[in-house]
Amino acid sequence: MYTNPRVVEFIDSHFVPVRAHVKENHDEFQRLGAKYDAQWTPTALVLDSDGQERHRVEGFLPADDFLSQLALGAAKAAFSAGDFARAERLFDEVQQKHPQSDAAPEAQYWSGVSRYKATNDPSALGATYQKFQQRYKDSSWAKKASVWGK
Amino acid sequence: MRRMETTISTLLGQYENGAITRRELIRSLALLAFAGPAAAQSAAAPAAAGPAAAPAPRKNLRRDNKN
Repeated sequence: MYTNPRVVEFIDSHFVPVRAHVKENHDEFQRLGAKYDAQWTPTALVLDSDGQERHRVEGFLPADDFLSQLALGAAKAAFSAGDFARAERLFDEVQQKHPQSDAAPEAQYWSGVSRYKATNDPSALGATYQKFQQRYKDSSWAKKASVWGK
Repeated sequence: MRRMETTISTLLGQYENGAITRRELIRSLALLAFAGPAAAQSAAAPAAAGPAAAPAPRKNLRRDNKN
């Protein structure tokens, strides 16, 4: 399904890939689509080992943006699992590898939250607010972090 | 789901052989991709039925993810 080598490599190294095609795998598409409320193709879901959805990408994205979303999904899964140190590292990787992507400001926000969750140190949130003064200050995530600067 | 079962079997085999740790096994994530016809094929096609699609075809053009 995916032809970009970087996308293929990332999926192979991070996920168990499952494909449900609307025509070629119609029964599975119906069953899984109903379970996960898939309304459109392409839709890509990052599921944790319990089958819980942790991230959703609806619609086509260019390879770089799709990669950033997959990386964001992996980070969110680590966060949901309570592995906050790993989540922080993965969120930081999203920012480092895909700094111009839509995923980057969201990753910056959740990186700060992950550090706070791991340490219970509120200064992690203040530091994240400061980062948003430098990068992504026009993003919706900067607005969400604005409360941490008070 | 044969492909997923095969992959899970592979992962379990790697765990049993010591190639991956239990932590790595549990950490395994799935990427579930719902796909449709390729863009070139679907450009003129009506939007297909997702499981909860309305009876009337949607008018948006649908593209597959070509990454």
